[in-house]
Amino acid sequence: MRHLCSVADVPAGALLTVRLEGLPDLLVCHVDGKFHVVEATCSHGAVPLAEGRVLGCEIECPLHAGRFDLTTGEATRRPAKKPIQVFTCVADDGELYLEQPGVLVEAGMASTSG
Amino acid sequence: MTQTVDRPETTTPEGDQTPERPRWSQLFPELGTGAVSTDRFISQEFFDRETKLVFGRSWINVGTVHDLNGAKTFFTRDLKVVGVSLLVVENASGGIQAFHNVCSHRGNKLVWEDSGPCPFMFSCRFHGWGYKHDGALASVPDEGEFHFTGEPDHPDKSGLGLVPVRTEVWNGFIFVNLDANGTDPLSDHLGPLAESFEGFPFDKFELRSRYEVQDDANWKVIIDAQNEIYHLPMLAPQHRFLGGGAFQTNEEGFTRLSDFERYGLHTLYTSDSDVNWVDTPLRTAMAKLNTEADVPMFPLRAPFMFHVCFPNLIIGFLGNFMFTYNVWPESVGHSVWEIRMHHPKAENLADRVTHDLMKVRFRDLLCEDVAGHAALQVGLESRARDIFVMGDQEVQIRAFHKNLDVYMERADND
Repeated sequence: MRHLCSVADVPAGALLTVRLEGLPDLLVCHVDGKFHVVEATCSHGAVPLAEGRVLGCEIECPLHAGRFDLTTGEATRRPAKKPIQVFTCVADDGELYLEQPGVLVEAGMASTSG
Repeated sequence: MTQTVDRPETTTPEGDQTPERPRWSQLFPELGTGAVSTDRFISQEFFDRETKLVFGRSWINVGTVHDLNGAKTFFTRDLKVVGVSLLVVENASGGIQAFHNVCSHRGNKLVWEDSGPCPFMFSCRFHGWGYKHDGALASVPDEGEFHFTGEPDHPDKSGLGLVPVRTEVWNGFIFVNLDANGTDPLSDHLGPLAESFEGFPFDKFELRSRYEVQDDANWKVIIDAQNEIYHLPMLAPQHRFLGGGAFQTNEEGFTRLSDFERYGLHTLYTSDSDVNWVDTPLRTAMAKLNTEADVPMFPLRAPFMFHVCFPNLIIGFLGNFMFTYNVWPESVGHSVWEIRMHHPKAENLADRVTHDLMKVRFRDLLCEDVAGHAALQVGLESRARDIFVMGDQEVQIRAFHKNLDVYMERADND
């Protein structure tokens, strides 16, 4: 497991970009009491998703407004088409940890534990 | 440099009503007194020359800081006469820069909104090319399909940013110059006009209202019609009975300029108020309700001041009220008259009501002017006469046309 950040670094509704060596930039999102970790760069326009906005459980790219499901990484709105990677994380004693680095989670799997 | 250095005093403290007052034509003999051809208002050829030499090469005021809302905001401005759309951006550090509002890919209009906060990047709606706030091209969808090699005829991304337009800001007025080869700074263009405004607290004004009036007249007809007070006691009923009477008149009731200056390409005329003027009951009641409103807040040399900043910007003051006009030519016989009204910040409800009363009164007055413009243009185009004549109290109009001729001749020879 690799340390991502403190839980306090990502209050409700917030987006945080985290860089870990050997991995693509990661985006940590806190939505409805759950933490989601996805690839931080849009698969369509190569721009940081951290500059975008969260709508329900989707992240919208600020450049062309494509959207991705935060739990599955699926592209949910064009022009985004290629999914982004999602990662699993766990919270332990106020800190967030990346559970299984580099794994593309299949659609339908939950991505966090509280 | 002003041309008034050797000029004797022209006014008495009480106002300009003595027979010994030198006539403006004597003080400015270079302006002449003869009739002028009407060709300049109705000729397509003259209009085309103006478009190319004046609007294509002079510093032009395209907006003010009131059109922005601080860092990372923008507005767009289409200048139909020169066929250009501009994107004006205030960046994160407060710098203001205009660009051609054109995507480098295939020429589409980049930003279609009038104004607003800057998006993350300016993204073209056609194919999604994205530009940073400094104009750099940052994102090209499907970039691998392009030939960004940097070789001849193959510009790379660094060479495909938004095309900047020379931009300078003076006292909150944003100027651009479409002549990409020009090197003259804005200060050269403004010259003594800028000196006359040294230290003027423009930042005390807020923009309260703005109008864009479709006007069926040549742009210079509109400027000329505003650039004198000779018509104030006559045009009725608004001017004659409501607004115009506040200006200084002689014993016979004819208006008199209290001062006139030539500032390089620009001009100023001023007027004192009419001490005998009796205002309307409403305005009198407002003055009693808001006694602070008329206490002068700005260093004006006269209660009414009218600057013409060549070619098409007017900066006028009436007490604590500043109005600006930008007269935009669209064709020989059609223009858009942009009117802006500014007041110091309203401190209370009485101020708000005073400002709103000024807005409607001023607006109605200008509507009365507009009613005449189209008829003026028809009269000129009829060629019933091919000359127009001007009196001494219209010296500023002579100066405007002289400045235009001088500018175009200089630009032609460059």
